[in-house]
Amino acid sequence: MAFKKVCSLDEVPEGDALRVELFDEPIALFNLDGEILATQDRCTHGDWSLADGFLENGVIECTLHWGKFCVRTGKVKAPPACAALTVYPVKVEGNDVYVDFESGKVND
Amino acid sequence: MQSFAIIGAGLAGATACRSLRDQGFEGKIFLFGDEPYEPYDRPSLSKSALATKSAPPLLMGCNWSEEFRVEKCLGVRVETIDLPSMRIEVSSGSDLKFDKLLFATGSRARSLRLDAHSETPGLYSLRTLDDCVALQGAISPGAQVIIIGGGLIGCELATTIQKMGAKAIILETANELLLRVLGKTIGSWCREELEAIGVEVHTGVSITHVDLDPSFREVRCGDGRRFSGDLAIVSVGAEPVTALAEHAGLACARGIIVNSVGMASSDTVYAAGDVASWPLRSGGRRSLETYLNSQNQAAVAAGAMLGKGEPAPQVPISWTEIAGHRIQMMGEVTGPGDVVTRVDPGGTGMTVCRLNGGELQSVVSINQPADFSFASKIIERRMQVDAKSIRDPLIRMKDVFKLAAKTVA
Repeated sequence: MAFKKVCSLDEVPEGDALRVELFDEPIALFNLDGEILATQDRCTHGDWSLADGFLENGVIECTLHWGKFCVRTGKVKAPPACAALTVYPVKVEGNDVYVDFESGKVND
Repeated sequence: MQSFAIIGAGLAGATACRSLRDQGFEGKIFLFGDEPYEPYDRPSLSKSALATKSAPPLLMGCNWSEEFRVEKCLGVRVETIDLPSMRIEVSSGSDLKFDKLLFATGSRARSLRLDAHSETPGLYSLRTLDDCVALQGAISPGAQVIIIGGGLIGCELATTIQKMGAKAIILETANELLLRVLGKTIGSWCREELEAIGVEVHTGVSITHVDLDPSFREVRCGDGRRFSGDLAIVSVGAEPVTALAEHAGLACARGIIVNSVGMASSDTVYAAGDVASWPLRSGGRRSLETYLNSQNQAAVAAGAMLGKGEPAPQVPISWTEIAGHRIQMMGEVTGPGDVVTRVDPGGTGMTVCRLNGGELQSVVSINQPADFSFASKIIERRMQVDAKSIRDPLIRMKDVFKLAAKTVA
């Protein structure tokens, strides 16, 4: 368990996303009504950044082929994507956002 | 127990199978496909599958027919459909009684109609996996490939052929490439990009004769120009496959006429995908020939077959890959209103929109998937936007969308 500071809270406005390249794999942070969630940034289908995608009702839609994922569980919500995203634990302290990259997991 | 028959095992047919089960259908599903292959990704045929001489990706997982309890009849042609008695007769001689029927027969490549050459042998086309395999074998590095028709498939093929180390020569009747689907601005841009990767483009060409000696192919034009190559591919559009439906007595006009849930003349018969002439949100109807619309129509029609279809008039939406650029489009490119162009300051692409009465009517993006993603939502939800913020590339389309969403709320 190693949480590392990745950004400040105001860098991820509500309903928005931020791509962070601090680990072996880029991650995407999403702000769902004030709650911050983290997934791998690379779409499992088309090797594309999800942080640019369309976020609504907790679901991110990839801009390349319109695959969809639940940002909370990483699970696929629409094809052509078929593999789930890795999701990472997040904690927010004051204005600082921390992610535990090593504890990332894929939900089946 | 009810039996549903689906004719056509492409994207629409496969999606309908999945959708019927997702929506709780417990009866039998019979899926007929005249190609002897598992449902595959057709858009790949003109792109990666051809370029890498490999098989296209499959649309479904490996045990999908068990998972969705689908009786697959692949490599089987449906010969006749008798609607009054609700029976299908297939090429193997057997027949099937159905309760509901979905046509998902797709479209076929239009052939080149020259006087003496209505079915010219030796001319290639690209629609099926077999067509793709034939082209994989025919195109070798250094070959000269004549492409008759500069629409989407023609331009995708030219891109792939150059990638394969061969030379593509496009002959197009209109005065610009891609006019019908992408409009003049993007059409001209694509022509320049294709020329930059070595494609030879000739527009305003009217073809009068195709000479097909086994070792030599020559295309003769009305103005006396002649083009020769090692092979010629015809890509002059597609035609919905409606012969079966017409024989069964269904109303067809460049596609089976369906309402906005995909229902044909009675509540036992439906159509989805390229074969369906489906109502458009902007008025009128047509076969859309796009991946995403086919997928959507199949899901809607599956719902309608179960008595719960929500009307879904369509807005055309698709994508293409031309000369290494990703182009995405939504809506009717031509029509009233103003064309607003948003040029990426990084120089990697642009987005061309048509705005009418504060409503976005169409968007075409070149290498701007983030712009496209949000612009497509603006179109889908019929949000009001202003030309100034659409034109300004420093305002993210995401923020244009967010502002418009707030205005609606």
